[in-house]
Amino acid sequence: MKAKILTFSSQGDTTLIEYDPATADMDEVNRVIAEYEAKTGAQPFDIATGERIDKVTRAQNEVLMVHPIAGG
Amino acid sequence: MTSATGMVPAIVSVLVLALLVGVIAVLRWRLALTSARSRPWPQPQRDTPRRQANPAFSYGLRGSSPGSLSLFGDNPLNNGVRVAQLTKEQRAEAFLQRILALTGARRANGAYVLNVGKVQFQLRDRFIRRLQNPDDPKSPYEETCFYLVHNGMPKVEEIATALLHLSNNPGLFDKWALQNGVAFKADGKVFDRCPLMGLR
Repeated sequence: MKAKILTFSSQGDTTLIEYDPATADMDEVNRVIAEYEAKTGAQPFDIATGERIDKVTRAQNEVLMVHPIAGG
Repeated sequence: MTSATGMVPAIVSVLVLALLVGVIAVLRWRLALTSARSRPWPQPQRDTPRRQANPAFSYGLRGSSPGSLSLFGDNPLNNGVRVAQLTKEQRAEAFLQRILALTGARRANGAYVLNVGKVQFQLRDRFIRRLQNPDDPKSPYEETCFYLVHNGMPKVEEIATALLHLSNNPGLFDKWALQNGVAFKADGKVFDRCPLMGLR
């Protein structure tokens, strides 16, 4: 089963990365997530629990990158 | 007098010729416009991986297809019949339902109601109300507008995003209410590369 890093976008839900959690280099996954966060401000949430996570592990099969919100 | 009379047909001929050339030019322009409109826009190759550093990965932005969505269970087939292609709005609505279930939020009177501890948030399109005591109809409340710094996502995904933010970090409401136009990440830190900063 493949794991996914998703985000919401103007195209609806969008897959950023898809990988095999059994064999993937999780440092590489987290590096891609960190790059995406630096660019967009989005942070990872585990979609199984609805909680924000600092690092993605092999235990997470679906992660949603949640974008920043402003008030006004 | 005679020569002037003789020039009239020539002038009329020139005018008719100019008119014909003008009509032909307009027709060609309309034809080109119609042809351009009927031609499909070039689509970005979203299925093409951006890079392939590790064979375990497939990189690149691509919309989730119904077959790959676990929103509707892990089985993309429904009694052997492939589920019809869903629009982004339908997928967004399905995702919202999932976020509602995750956060314990519910829909009531046109709003999405989220309880975090004793506090209740009522979310509408780009608008949030916070009630300190939802059981008391005269309870004081605060309100704020909110918006996603990256425009264009379906409205229900904006609601889903705000629900996830508030369920994890209800204190974000105060930041949104007090610091207009400042974007905050889910962990409460300011996102200072906001593309819309200063535009509102």
